[in-house]
Amino acid sequence: MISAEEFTNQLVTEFEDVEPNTVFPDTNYREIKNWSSMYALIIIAFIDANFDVQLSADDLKNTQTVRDLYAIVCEKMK
Amino acid sequence: MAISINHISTYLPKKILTNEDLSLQFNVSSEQIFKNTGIKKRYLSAPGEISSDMAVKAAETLFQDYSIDRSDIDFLIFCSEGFDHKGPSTSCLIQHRLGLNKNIACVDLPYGCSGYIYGLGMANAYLTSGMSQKVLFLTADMATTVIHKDDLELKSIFSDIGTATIITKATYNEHFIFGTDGSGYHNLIVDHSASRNPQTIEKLQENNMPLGHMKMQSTEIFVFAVKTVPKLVQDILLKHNYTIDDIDLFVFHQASYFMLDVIRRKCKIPKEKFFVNIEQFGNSVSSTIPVALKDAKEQGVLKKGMKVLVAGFGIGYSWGATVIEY
Repeated sequence: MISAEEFTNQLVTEFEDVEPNTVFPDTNYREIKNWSSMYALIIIAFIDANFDVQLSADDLKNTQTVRDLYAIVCEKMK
Repeated sequence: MAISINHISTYLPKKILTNEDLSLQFNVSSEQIFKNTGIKKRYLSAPGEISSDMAVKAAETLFQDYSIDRSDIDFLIFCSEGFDHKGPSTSCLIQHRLGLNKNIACVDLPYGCSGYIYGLGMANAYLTSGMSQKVLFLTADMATTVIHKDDLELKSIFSDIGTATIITKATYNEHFIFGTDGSGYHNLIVDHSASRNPQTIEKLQENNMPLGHMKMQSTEIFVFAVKTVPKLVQDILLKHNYTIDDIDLFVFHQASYFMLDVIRRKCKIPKEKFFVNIEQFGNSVSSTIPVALKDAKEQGVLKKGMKVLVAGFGIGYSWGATVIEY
């Protein structure tokens, strides 16, 4: 599994309007610039496509930071 | 023995809702609305114009454009979630309005995004069993009338369109797959629209939505679709002994551009075989697939004899797919 930093970098490239080096593993992803419900769908699609892990809406509700997402992916890939 | 989709006609209401219209109403740029939905315009039924009116207009266009003798029709299916009355079946009223024979079967099919596949499945059963020779299958919905005036997300997706399809027997042997998971019913629902949670005076005073209030948990619906549809595609291909390469065109329920693109990539369907026309029509519930088939034919993308994988999925949760030979 890639590192949390690499996970964050890859995720950020999915968000068209977000500058690289503005989001870090401990960033609260809901505070990313221009955050909208669309970003939640992008996160779900990114994780599904790259890690074959299906997040639920509850998984998103229970996470705050990008590192939290990373932890769920690592846990579900076990 | 199976089915052949002979002709499709559509009825598009005159009033169009553009991203610029929405941008004026809500504090969001038209570019952002397009980016979120992939939609440029939606059709709005006129005040007082209901689903059956749109279905009847689509049927009359079909009869005229393709010189169809209405007396040949012996089975009518009307798929909608917006009926004239709780009783009688709206299809009975449509039989009378269209001047169809009296010795025919008429059924209402209260389904949304998977409704077109259900209708094809019913037509297949009636035609194959010999109970019918020619099916008229109508779809129409007026989703925009059950959306709250301040709900940008739903307003930017849904569209009101009526369609009419003539279906007869064919030699091509298709199979169907259907699926249901009612545990997700509350994630896309028209609340306060019938016996459970009926309308109250307080609700009417609060939001003036006499026909009900559509509510959608978009994340839940997205998770459902991205999980369910790729497996549905895999299963329907397997049932026909086909691979992706055997299919000429994939026409799915036009839910949202982003959702379709994620599903396409997950299914590894080449972009050129995946028809998307949500940009110009929006999400018209059970009408999206016939609208797309007609549009694909007019654009020259869909040609006679092609194998087309059609899939519907959504409210219910409910899903279905088949492979038709056009």
